[in-house]
Amino acid sequence: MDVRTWKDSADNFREYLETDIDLNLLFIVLFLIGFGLLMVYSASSYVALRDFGKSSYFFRKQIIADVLGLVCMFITIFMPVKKIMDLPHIKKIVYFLAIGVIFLVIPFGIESHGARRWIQVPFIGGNLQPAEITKLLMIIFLAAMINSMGNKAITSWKGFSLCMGLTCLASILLYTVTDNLSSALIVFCIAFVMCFVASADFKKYLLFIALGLAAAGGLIAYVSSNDSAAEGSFRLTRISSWLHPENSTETSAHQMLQGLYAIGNGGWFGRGLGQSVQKITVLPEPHNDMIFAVICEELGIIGAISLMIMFALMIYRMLLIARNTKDRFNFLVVSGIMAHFAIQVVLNIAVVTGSIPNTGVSLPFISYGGSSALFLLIEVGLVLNIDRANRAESRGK
Amino acid sequence: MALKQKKKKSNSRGTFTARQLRFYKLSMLLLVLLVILVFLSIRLVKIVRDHGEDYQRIVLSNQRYDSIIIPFRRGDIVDSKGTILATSEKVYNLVVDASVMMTYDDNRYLEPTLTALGQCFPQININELRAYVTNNESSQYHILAKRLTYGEISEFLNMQENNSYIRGVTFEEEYKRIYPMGNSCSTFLGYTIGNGNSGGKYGLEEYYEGILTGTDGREYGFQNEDATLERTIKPAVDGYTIHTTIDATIQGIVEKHLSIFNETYRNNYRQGNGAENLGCIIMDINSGEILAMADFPTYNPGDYMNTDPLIGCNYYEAVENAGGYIEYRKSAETITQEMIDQMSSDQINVNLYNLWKNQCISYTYEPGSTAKPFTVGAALDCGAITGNEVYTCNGALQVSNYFIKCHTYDSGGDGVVTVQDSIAWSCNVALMKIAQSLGTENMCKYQRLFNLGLKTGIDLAGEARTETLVYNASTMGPVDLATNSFGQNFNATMIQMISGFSSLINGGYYYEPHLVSYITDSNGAVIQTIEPRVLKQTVSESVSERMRQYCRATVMEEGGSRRSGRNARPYGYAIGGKTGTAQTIPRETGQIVISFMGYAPADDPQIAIYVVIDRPNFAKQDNVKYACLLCRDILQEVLPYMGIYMTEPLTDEEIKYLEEKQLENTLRYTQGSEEQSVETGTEDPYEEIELSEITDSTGETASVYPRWMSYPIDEKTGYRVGPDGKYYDADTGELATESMSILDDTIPVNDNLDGNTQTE
Repeated sequence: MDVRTWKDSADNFREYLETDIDLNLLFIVLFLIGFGLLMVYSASSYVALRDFGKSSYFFRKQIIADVLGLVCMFITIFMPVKKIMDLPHIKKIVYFLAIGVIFLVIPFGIESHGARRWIQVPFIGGNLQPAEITKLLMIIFLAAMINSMGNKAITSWKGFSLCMGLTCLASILLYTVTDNLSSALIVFCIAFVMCFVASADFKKYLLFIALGLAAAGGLIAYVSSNDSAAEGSFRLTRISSWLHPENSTETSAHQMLQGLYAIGNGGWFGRGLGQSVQKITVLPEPHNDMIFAVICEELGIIGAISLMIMFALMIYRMLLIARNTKDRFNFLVVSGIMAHFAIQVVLNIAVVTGSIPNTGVSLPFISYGGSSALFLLIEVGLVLNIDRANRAESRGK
Repeated sequence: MALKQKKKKSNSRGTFTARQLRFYKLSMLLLVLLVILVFLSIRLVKIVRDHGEDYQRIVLSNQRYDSIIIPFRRGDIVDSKGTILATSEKVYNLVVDASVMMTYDDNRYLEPTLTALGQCFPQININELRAYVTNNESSQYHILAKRLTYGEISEFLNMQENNSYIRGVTFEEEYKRIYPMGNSCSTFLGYTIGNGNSGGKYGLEEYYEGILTGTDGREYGFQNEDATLERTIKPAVDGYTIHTTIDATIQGIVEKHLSIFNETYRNNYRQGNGAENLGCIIMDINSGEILAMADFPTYNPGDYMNTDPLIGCNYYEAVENAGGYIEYRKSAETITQEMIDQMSSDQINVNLYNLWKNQCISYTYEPGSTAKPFTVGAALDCGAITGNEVYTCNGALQVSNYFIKCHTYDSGGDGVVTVQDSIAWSCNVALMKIAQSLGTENMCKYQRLFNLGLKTGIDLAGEARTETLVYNASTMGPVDLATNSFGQNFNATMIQMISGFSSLINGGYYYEPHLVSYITDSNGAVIQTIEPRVLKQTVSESVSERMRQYCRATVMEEGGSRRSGRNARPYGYAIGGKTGTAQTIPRETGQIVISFMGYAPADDPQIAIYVVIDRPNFAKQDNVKYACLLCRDILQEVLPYMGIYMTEPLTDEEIKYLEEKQLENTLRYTQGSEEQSVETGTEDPYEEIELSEITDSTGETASVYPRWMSYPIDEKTGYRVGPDGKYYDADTGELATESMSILDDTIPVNDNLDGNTQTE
């Protein structure tokens, strides 16, 4: 090959990228991954040095997970998803897979942080959270399910109930088998959003939202009025310690309070990258669920809001892709993935700012966590796959 | 606004396709997300605006960087050869942070930490600690054990490094004062309060406090203008090391012999130590550098509150005197363990004060005959006598209305006495006559010149003031002049006496006595050098030469049979010196201070030595022989150690003695053995003494066996008692006469003199 052929192929590749892939979305995702790595290193270095003798312990593991995730993402972009979904009985297979993986924790589970949520992956040596697989598969399953039902059916109570019923089964299993309430709630919310988007109805959903808010308000009122009510129940204790973090001796309240201190300490412009004081011993799990608090402390409110804008931009880019999607299944997949990202971002930041009780949701691409990064990148790959299909379609016109 | 728009669209959905509707509904999701993100941003802003400062403060207070003191290291004290006499060792306080141990409800830190503590520190009661930690969850600073050495904590440090669940234990650094010599050297070292950096007491530790102490460092955090935590370390400045002129080997020899003396004569006549006070100073005669300074009993500066050394000492009690001051009065009673058990802590402290004092510089006493060279030197130097005078001693002299005896009063006096004899035989009558020609004015002038009544300025804390304990020209009467001439009726300290004596011997140069030769910083760089300082010329070189001659005659055979210091001569050496036998107040009680002050070698003086035995534990205390023998035993070891060769021939007996005691015989390297054997036989000093004593007391010529050898030994006193009722020394036949009471109660005494009290 001479220089010209090299140049030609490079030009071809660039042209291909520009025409086939949404570089805006790709850039935002790559930025978030890079920023996430930086923050994981900053937040975890002390803990890693203390517990493992190597400050880059978590950082290295996260790099491996991110690289693996990016490879999977690119594979996903070029996968013939549509063809796979046309296979016979594919809906049932996907659904049973989504539910089936949950049960893997029973024989292969590893207990960590007091819950059995991880399974050991043979040969690779990493740990995997089946809940992440369930979330992805449930999005695909629901998109296919709703797509097969048609507009009228999903708008009807019957169609809605069927979708939500199947989702509830998955959620309940997630909660009971892996003791993972946050994943169960996320799956439920994703399904709710997907049904909402697919149906032509508003009233039903507004009613459900109103009911949900009323139930939450009632629960809070009950816990706050009755001190002893929280005793004995792990979930209710969390609500109680959220309402009165100063009085609580529970770890989650301590975590939340220290997160608030970190935000206060950071102020508008932050202490500077790497200068967090709270991440040193005081703030538990600074690189996991509480990484946003470290970001606030080191980069200030300005840095935190900038990060939120990046997330909003990412979801906006996905919305634009959805607009160009004529295929109903593809549209619903994008909707589900958008919902997934939006819900995780909102829940995580809400917990750190003390707006809701501690649920234990990670911040997409930023928090430390291999399986989360891997499956979120596969989801991004799916969105880019759909975008590619859209572009091909518009070119073909 | 947005919601209304959506409603409008949904109302007229007929105009929308299903795809458009889906998109609008999805857009609503983004809208809701944006609304929520805006709400969360507002919440962030509110947290910072409403609580930012509070939270910053909480975060800062969580960090304990603001008050970590880095302790300085107190400087070492070393001897002239670099042997460490006092040093500071880093020790560790075990601090427990209960809040860290209790971080998690599942006790994941607590139990591993407690187990490790239990394994490494058997002295810690783990159950008590568990109770403390669980009951005081917020406690961050609890000292569990103090002053552990690195060896004691290293095992735990290893475990802590290998197990991340061992938490909440830190080690705080501190320094502990170590005195590797134990009881030795306490005389001049002093101690440090609490064995730490709380300041020195007595001796070098107190005198050089400012040199030995450094400055604490500090690691502190502060908020700068941006409220950022800044951490700054100001390192500690360590104290300086002082290099003393003391030679630990010489010091050890001196202390050994003082201790042997005490062991030998403890409970000999009365209950208690071998003497009320024992002291010895060895000094470089040509520089004023102290080579050894010891008193007895000593104490361990590392354990200075220990009451064991008090046993056998005289009991001191605090008495309020007429002036309203508290006086510490020495009683005749000696301390026993039973007494200590019954003493109050105040009483124990009073007695410990006395123990901690350096008797060589703070104890004042009447020096007795060791002051005679001062009187003679003064008379020669001012021309009052020429040195060729001859005096007659009839055993006593009438001064004003008082009859002052010589120690030879009972045997009819010394007879014809030259100036040399007056020193060598220690004749009081001749000295009184010399003092009369000197006059009160000159006497007082020369006393000041010899620094009597003044402080020597030695670099040790606690030197006694003696200003009121001497006469001045206007207060000194003829009787005072007479008694002062032989060292009674004024008080001095040991350091005053030996410093003055050194100047008499070394050519008249009065050196300021000192213990420190130079000071180095913690890196070993010399900060200050302390050169020997000549304060004044006391006598002329020619007078000094005569004094060397007289003092030599006191010890060596040229002084004749009656010389008082013959027992002080170490075998193989020629030395000079002067004995002292001083009565204490009240007189007539037989309470005597015996002493020997000398220099060696006689022809080339290098060191001065002064041995004082205050009220020895004998029935009859006035036997100066014991001070001489103590001096001899010390010099016998010190001189060879200092590389001073023997110059005098050794008898077979002396060689045998040296071999038995495994003492060095440096004569062999300088002189042939043949020469020695020629001298032996005629040189036996004991034989000569025995014969001469008999001649003196009985007037008869010698028989083969001296008569006193047949006298029975009195078991109570250890003396032979003759038919005339007189006591004779059991070994030498020396007459231990009753008439040693030269002064009786009628002779006026300086009101300020009182050997038994001291005012704090």
